[in-house]
Amino acid sequence: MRQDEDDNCRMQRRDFTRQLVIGVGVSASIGAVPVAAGPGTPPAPKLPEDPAPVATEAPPPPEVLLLTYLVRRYPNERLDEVAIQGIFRDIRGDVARGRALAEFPLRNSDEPAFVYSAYRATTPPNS
Amino acid sequence: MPDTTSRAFASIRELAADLRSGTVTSVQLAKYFLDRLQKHGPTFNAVVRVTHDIALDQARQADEELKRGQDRGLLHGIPYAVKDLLATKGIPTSWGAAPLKDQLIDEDATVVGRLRAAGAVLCAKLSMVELAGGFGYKQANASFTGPGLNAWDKTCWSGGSSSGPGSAVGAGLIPFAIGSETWGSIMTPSGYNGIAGLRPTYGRVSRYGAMALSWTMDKLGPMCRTADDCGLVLNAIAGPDPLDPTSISSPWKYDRAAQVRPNASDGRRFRFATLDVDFDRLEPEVRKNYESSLEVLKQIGTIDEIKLPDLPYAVVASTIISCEMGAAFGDFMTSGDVWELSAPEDRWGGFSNLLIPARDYINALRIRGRIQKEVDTAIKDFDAIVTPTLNTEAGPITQKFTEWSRGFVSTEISGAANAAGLPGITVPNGFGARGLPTGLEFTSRALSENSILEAAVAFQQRTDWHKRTPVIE
Repeated sequence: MRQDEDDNCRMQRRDFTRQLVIGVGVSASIGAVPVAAGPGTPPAPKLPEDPAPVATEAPPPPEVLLLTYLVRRYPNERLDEVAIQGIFRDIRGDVARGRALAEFPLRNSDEPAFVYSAYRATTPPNS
Repeated sequence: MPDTTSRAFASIRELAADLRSGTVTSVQLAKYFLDRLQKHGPTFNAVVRVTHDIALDQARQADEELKRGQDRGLLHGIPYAVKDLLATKGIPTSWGAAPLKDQLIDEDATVVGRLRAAGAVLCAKLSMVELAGGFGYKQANASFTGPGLNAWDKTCWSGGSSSGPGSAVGAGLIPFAIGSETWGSIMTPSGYNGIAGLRPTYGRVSRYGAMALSWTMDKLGPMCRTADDCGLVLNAIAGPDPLDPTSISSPWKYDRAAQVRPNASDGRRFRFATLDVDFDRLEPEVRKNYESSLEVLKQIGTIDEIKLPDLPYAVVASTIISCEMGAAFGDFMTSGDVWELSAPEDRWGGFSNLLIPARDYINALRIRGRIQKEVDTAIKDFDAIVTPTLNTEAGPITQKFTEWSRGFVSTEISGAANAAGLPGITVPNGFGARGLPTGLEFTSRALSENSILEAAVAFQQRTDWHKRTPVIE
């Protein structure tokens, strides 16, 4: 990843929450709703108690970025606290599932198990 | 009018014999079951629509044909119903979802057409969990018809997503129904309601005209009073269909002759396998019934314990469903229609699926190929893998599934079989502490429906759990 891309990813948590609120019109408290985090999973988006300098902020975990993208890509005023937290839990599960898939040893020759064949509506005259 | 009361829980063969002996007509049978559906269906939240006029028209035609000697087979003149995810010409198809309750797909699903050709009589479209449960419902109240109520206890769940077929067949409101399974949706309601439910090999039954939740995992199958009935119905609906490119090209026939095989004295015995069941997850009665069932199976075959290959079955199956569902219902979610669903958790439960990387989906499909091959190798020497269908009796509709289901299943066979498209059948094998049914599941290699049918029929020839009936008030 290039440095400028890296910098773009360094979203302050406060900004994240603010953007969520602006984007979907939910209450300012949504980021503070606790989410039960399992081992090795990132915490739910949360407002920091005192703002930390930008330079020391760790980049948000991918789950938070995905949630941000989702609510900005598909804004809806009915995305309330419960929905946001539920979606966040789902995203964490999806990311964990993706890791499990990536860890499975696959060979180049392991083809996807779907069937696809060329198609034409009528039989070629010379076939 | 002949006494048809005793026919509520009759098998297809019994009803077919009555029709041919002239003790009852198809119209009389249709009226009888239409009445039961109208009277009792709403008390189980089992019915979306009773197709009264269509049923009587089809029944009259069946009577005329049988009278003049035109016999279409054992389903001729037999009433049936379908889960309301199958398209039916002229009748709305709701998919169990409030925002779609008036949706009209004005053609018959292939399955409906085939049952029509077999002379069966369509009496109702039955309730289901909204959108076949693909949005992650976590409790029973997830359909615009209300929570599906169990045939044996209306305070308990009928299972999902084929809720209506489960309770309607269980309560004797209809002789058989067509359900669908993407992952568990035939087995679960069949197990909880004490009926026989068959999940065919993927592609055995055309999906044309059925709601697509997951194109590569959806299966349609019969839910009936007996395993033998499942064979008869599958015989009518299976086979290639140019309208479904995933349908298996070879025809299928129910091997009636094979049913007489399972006598220990004929020298040909079954080979069953069991898996490493997590007994801690089973209710004590479920375990006891399972162990008793194994004793019955020992009369007709051998039982070996095997282990499935160590593969990520659940991860693969759930990833495939999530991604395909995200594509199938992306517009439904982003248009806002999703917010009209009944279960609050279903309203947002599909959104994360819009973001899963294509790489995850493709890799899940690649691992699926490995699953197909390695599981087939592991089970190829056996007629059937035998497991408890579910970990518990049906639980209360007022509680979340996590409070009572114990994770629903205690082995990996459910995820493995659905990921690999393998057939399975569940039959009742006893009752739990609260008097609700428990089930025994037979799973086999792809294309081996006759093996599991034969085993299940043999089990039912030696037990009478399928003859027990609930009291319907």
